[in-house]
Order: sequence, then C-alpha cells, then structure tokens
Amino acid sequence: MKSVLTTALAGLMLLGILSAATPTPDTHAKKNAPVLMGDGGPYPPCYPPNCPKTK
Amino acid sequence: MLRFAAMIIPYLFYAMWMLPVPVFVCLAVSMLRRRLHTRLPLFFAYCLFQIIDFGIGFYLYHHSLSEYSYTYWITTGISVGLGFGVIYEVFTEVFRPFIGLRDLGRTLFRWATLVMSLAALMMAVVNGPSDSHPLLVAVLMLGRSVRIMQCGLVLLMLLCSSYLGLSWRHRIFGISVGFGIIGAVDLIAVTLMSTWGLNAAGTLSLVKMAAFLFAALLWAGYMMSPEPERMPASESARADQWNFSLAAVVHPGGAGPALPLIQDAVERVFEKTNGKKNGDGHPHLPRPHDQ
Repeated sequence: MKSVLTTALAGLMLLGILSAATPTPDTHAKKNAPVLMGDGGPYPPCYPPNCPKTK
Repeated sequence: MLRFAAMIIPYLFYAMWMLPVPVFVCLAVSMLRRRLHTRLPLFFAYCLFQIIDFGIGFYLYHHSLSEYSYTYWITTGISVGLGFGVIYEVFTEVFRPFIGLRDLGRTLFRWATLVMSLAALMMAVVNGPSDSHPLLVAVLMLGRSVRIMQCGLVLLMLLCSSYLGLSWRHRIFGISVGFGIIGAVDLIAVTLMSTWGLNAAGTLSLVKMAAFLFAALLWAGYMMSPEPERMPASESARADQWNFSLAAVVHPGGAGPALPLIQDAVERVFEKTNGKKNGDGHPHLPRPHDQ
C-alpha cells in the first residue's frame, strides 16, 4: 500500500514538474489572458477589460 | 446523465470552494491548542490567510468579475509568497537535528532562491514579442518556480525521509505532501488551460479546488493526530555521517565536528537520568513540540 502511494505521489510530482516544461503561462497572452496560478478559489473566468460589468 | 451532471456541477463547485474554510478554521484552532503556531508560524499564517482570502474572493466573484480578477493577482501573490516561506520552514525543520546538513541546506536554499528569482527576471526581460507586461511574466515565472520547488520538496522527502529519521506520520511530511499535491495539480491545470483556453477554466478550477480541499483535509488530519518522536540523529547512520563530515568542513581543526555527537550524548544521558527520576522507565522525554 505504502509503495503504491509513494509511486503515485512521485508520479504526480514528476508530471507536475514536466508539465512546467511545456508552454509557458505567457502562451495564453495571445488571448489577452495570462494564466494565473493560485491556491484556493476558482481561476478568474475572464480578464479585464474583457469582463462583463456585473455578473 | 448530462443533465444530471449539469445540475450537480454548480453545487460541487461551491462545495469545493467553501468546504476548505471550516477545515482551515479547525486546523488553526488545533494548531493554537497544540502551540504549533510557534513552531510553524508561516504555515499558521498561510492557514489564516486562506480564510481571509475566501471571504474577499467569494464576495468579489459575485460582485464584480473584473475586481475578482485583479484581487486574484494580489491574493495569489501573497499566498504563493507564504507557500514559499512554508517550504523554507519545512526545509529548516527537516534538517534541524543535523547541524552540518542544516547549514548546507540553508545555504543551498538561499542560492536556489537567488537563481530562481534571476531566472524569472531573465525570462521577463528576454521574453521577446509579447502582449504581457514584463512584470506580469516575472510574477508568473516566480509562481511557477515556487510550484516546482513544492513538488521537488515532496520528491526530496520521499527519497530521503528514511535517512533523515522522518516517517509518513510526521507533520512536516504531511505539510510537504499537501503543498506538493496543490503545486502539481496547479502546474498541470495551468498548462492545460494554456492549450485549451479560458473555456476550460470552470472544469480545471473544479479539479484545482478539489486538490486544495484534499490538501486542507490532509493537513487537518496531520495537525490533529499525535506525532511520533523523531529518530535521533545518531540512529540515522548515513545522515549522521554526512552531518559529521559537513561539520568538519565548516569548522576545520576546531571542536566543531564533534559538537553534534557531544550534544547528542549529553541529550541521551539527560533523558536517561530524567527517566529514572520520574520512575516511568521511559527513555525519552516529550519535547515541547512533540504533542
């Protein structure tokens, strides 16, 4: 059980690190929306000035 | 089936967003009761900040998406900064029993921070034709670097925990794993969003928030359960050898290399004597942080 968890955890960490090697967050800038990282809460669904005035 | 999924997703979205708050409240109370806030002050500050962040974010998300987007920048900056501080806290705690390794660890950490900051700065300056402001790129690169460091810390723990006298039941292990899961999921989600665009933001937010909730529950579990005593430095033979060698390099020709051994011997004699005095025959005294 412990070895399965260790492998899964190590795999997830490696996948995370490797995914950072693919397109940089700035790639999204062409759509005027740089991708942000954050802890809690959802990613912003829009970026100013493309956001609606009120939801 | 699709109709059911469409019905349940909004509830799931709010559940994932709101549930970490009571978990963080319990976590903060538990840390205060066990006086862990003095041992892990930055992690405690991180937990409190998540509660405040939720209050601000939740209000703005329903008030103005534009303001939510701006505020997300600021709160993410603070959160990632605190997360970086927690890595340092964990790093110091991991090497605490090993004087030589601790000095080397601190030096390596400072250098890694400097290189990471310079790399982010360079990426921002040499970014070439881009619509984004260089400062924006630098912040994004720093955020990404911190996430990579969080994943790296978990790998370090998995590879070296037995050498460092740590087990899966130690709190610093749980803290690292929680940050590692958040970091890895965030890195993967951001990469996917770079490809799929903002249309995928809802689904990926759900995955990210689920990972965050899982990490919060994991931390709460670790903080509320008792922690086993850490294996003395002298019993983790290889780490002790490295420690001794490094201490010899740092203090050549002096009494420095012997210090950890002398300290450990004194500690063991003290514990034995105290155990006899107490009459419980227990060889180890509970330390203030081992609650």
